[in-house]
Amino acid sequence: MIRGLTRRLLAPLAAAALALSTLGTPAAAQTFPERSITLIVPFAAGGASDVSSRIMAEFMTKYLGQSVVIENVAGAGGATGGLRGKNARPDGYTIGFGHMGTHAAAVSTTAKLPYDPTKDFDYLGIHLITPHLMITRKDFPAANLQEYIAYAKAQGKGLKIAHNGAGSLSHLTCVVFFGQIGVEPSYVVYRGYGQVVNDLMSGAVDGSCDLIASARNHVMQGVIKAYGVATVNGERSKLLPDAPTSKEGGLPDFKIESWLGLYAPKGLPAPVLARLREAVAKALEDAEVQKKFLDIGGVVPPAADRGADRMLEIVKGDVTRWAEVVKKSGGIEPPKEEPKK
Amino acid sequence: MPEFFDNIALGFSVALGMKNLSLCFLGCLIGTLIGVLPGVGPVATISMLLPLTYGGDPIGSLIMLAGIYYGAQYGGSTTAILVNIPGEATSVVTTLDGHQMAKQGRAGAALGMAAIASFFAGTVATLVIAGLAVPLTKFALLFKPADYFALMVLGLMLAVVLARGSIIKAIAMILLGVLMSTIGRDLVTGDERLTFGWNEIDDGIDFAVVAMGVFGFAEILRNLESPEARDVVRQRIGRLLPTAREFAQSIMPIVRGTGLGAFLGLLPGNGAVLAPFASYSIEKKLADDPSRFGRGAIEGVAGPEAANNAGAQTAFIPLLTLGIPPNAVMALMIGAMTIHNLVPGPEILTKQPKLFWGMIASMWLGNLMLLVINLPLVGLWVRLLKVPYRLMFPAIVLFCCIGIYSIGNNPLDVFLTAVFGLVGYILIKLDFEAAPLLLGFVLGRLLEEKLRQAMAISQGSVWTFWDHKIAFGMLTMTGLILIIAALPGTRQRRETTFSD
Amino acid sequence: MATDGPDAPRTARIPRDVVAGMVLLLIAIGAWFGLRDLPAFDKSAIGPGLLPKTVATLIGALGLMILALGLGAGRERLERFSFRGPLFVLGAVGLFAVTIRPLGLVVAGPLAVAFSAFGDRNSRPFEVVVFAIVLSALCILLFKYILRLPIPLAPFYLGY
Repeated sequence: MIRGLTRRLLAPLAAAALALSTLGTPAAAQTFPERSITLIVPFAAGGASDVSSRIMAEFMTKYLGQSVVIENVAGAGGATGGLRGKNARPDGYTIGFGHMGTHAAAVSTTAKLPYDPTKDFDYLGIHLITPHLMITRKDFPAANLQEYIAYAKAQGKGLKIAHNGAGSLSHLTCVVFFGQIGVEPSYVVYRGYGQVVNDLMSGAVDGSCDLIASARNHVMQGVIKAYGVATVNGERSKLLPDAPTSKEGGLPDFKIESWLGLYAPKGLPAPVLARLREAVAKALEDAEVQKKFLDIGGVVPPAADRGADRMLEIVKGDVTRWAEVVKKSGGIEPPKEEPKK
Repeated sequence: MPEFFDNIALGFSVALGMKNLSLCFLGCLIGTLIGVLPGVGPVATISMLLPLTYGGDPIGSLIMLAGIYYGAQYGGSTTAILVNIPGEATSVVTTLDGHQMAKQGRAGAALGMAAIASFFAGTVATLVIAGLAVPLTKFALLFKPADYFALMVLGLMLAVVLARGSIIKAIAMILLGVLMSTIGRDLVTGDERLTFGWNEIDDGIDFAVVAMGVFGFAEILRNLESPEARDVVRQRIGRLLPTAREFAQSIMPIVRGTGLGAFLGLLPGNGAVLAPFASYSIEKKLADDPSRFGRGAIEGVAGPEAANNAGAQTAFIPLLTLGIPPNAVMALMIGAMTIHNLVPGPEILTKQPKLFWGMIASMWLGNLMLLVINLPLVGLWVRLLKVPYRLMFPAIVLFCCIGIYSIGNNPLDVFLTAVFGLVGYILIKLDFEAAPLLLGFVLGRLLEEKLRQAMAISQGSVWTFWDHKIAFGMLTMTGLILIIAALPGTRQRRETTFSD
Repeated sequence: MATDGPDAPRTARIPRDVVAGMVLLLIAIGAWFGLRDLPAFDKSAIGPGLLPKTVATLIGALGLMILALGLGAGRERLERFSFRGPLFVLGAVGLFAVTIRPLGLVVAGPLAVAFSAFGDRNSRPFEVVVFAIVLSALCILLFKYILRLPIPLAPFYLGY
């Protein structure tokens, strides 16, 4: 027992000593990885971010021959984990997870975001996308998106729309949608989709805005209704093939798809970076990985839209896009000096 | 009815398979061992151990996860009784009389009663789930934000009963807890509140951090000052099982606690958190001699523990039938189900009857195993108290540090816990109690969110509390309790009830 | 340390509740300062300031009440604060927080145990050192090797 233990303790020590002695040399890059890799997920275990990261980690572990260990670093809406990812030693042994919220919208919705998504990271690739959509209670009096819009315009402030908190993707989706149709509903704010769907089912609120990954199951069970799936190409999502798109509903500009991806801190040795990117790329070609993603409500993006360079483009594009949305909506945070009533 | 038995039989045929049985056992055991570490409650335990269940088949994984949950819950009660550190909001109540019992050399009785009460409550709640899950689903949807707000107000009123000393000071602590719950980014507007420009605490402060600080570390500091008090705990071991008299005293509290817990657990939005508090208040009210409460009354352990476990169990109903997670633990369960491509919701019953009934059967088996694991362990836990305090408290410090760090993998949380330890120490010196503060902290956030949701839905009209009859009823009840408390006649009696 | 003598905790002369009331007042004032920019009402809805400001006001009012009662009939005197316990126990927690990421559990574990042990006047240095090492080894085995938690072990040497 003791002997086995010593061996177990000493083996990684010896391996690490070896790794240290050759660190920074080209040899290190060729033999990368020589020990386990940490993947920082800036949210608690159990959510879509965590689960998708674990699916990636599982494949990468097999592919790279060293375990990829998830480290959930929650806090400050994802900024704590992002900061740790940015400051990690750029040796490839620490990588991170980011999505449209943490690595694009946060620039405009978080005061003093401690990293710059357009500069501080070497991206590895987007592994999953999931379109946004509008959902309502089951007995909401609209058969399609046109009727929804007409009803919303008639109701105005009487329309009760739930979202998942200031600056959340759910909130931003609402801002975009109601901005485009020129309606200002009454917002009812909840802590997450779980609470929202409860009050949708009880009829306390009329509707909400969210991602397919969150709402898919309840839509498929028919306990809530879906409108205007906001796919970028205007085609129906295979995640929810029965739900009409925003294009079909006459609102073609309502296009939002969330992406989830991996990054490394800036400044990795080129061969190490290449090896990590290759592992991500291979994972996305794997049929089993694709199926698992489908099960959690997301699809692997088409080959042209998931590479590392494309990811940086998308990050840059979305940072600008959400900055405009937030600016147009008068800021997610209201002006400090609100006249008191 | 025959259908009911068919379902139960199907469930047991799944759960009693050798593999699932051993997974259930393993889950309960690991859950207990991790949950018993001070500072590590069920949420922390599950999020730490969730990855262990990601491999394997769906049924086995979920059975193991459920086992971890029950184990962690019971482990948390053990820590609350032995070292006065609650691992989660619901075991705050257990510290009140459970730890007093331990100090009197009755730790074995307290632990044994907690296990028995939990088992009874778990059995009843499992039957409730098996027989009534589907009809009860509708019930959860009757509660609108206005009603929840009223429920929280009533809950905060009940919290006053937790006070051992001055009522004014207890109310001040509840309010301080509510104030602390508002720290962080405002959910509705995104404004930073009481962070004083410190972004790191934007997401608010974790319950475990506050509980570990004001309960755990403050308790250590108090013990270090008075060596006499701490040695009492370890010198007298006493009986390992409750006496016949203690059983007799506990039966009705367990039954009432089970009913309360089973009911409150159904409510999404963490209604179960109120269950132990409500049970404690009721038992204290009904007791012939309320002054025993807070000084080692076994009813104060039995009732709340039953309520806690029943609530923990029926909280599965909204999850399994609606796909709605009523609390943080159930949200983790959804994550675990998703990774196995299981869709929580009505379809699980029709499409995966084996899984649904297998899980229900394993819930009961899990409760049974907890009893089997824990009754023999009681002796071991109690013997742990024999460890000299000069070695015990550094061990607690290390376990707490590792536990708190592991919740968010963030050293800042560990540091904050030290800060709250100092706060707790000052509170002790000023004769403020920590239990009402923690309840205020837990309910405060819900209270504000539900109020703002209710007002947003009614577009600013306070008449919404008149229109929602459940809310109106509960607010009226709260008002009546206040009036009765303020009447001169009862005041005299309350003084004797609440003051030392 | 004088405050740790066998007759500790001794009492200061101030009535305890006077201090308690003052502390609550200070908290209320601090909270109001931190909340000053947050509106209680936001258009027609409840704003971010309403609940915390109301609660802070109530805390202040209760503080005044406790202060007044303490001045009038406060028989209980304030206990002396000891320094040894808070310094070593909370210091150990702080040390753990500072060392866990750069130095790992191998260093942070024994350090926290050993440092906190000195919070007790009766601690025995040799016993403490042995206990610190054994306990840390057990924790490493349990958390790192059995449960595989991503807690740093010895980053300076192992890289994790």
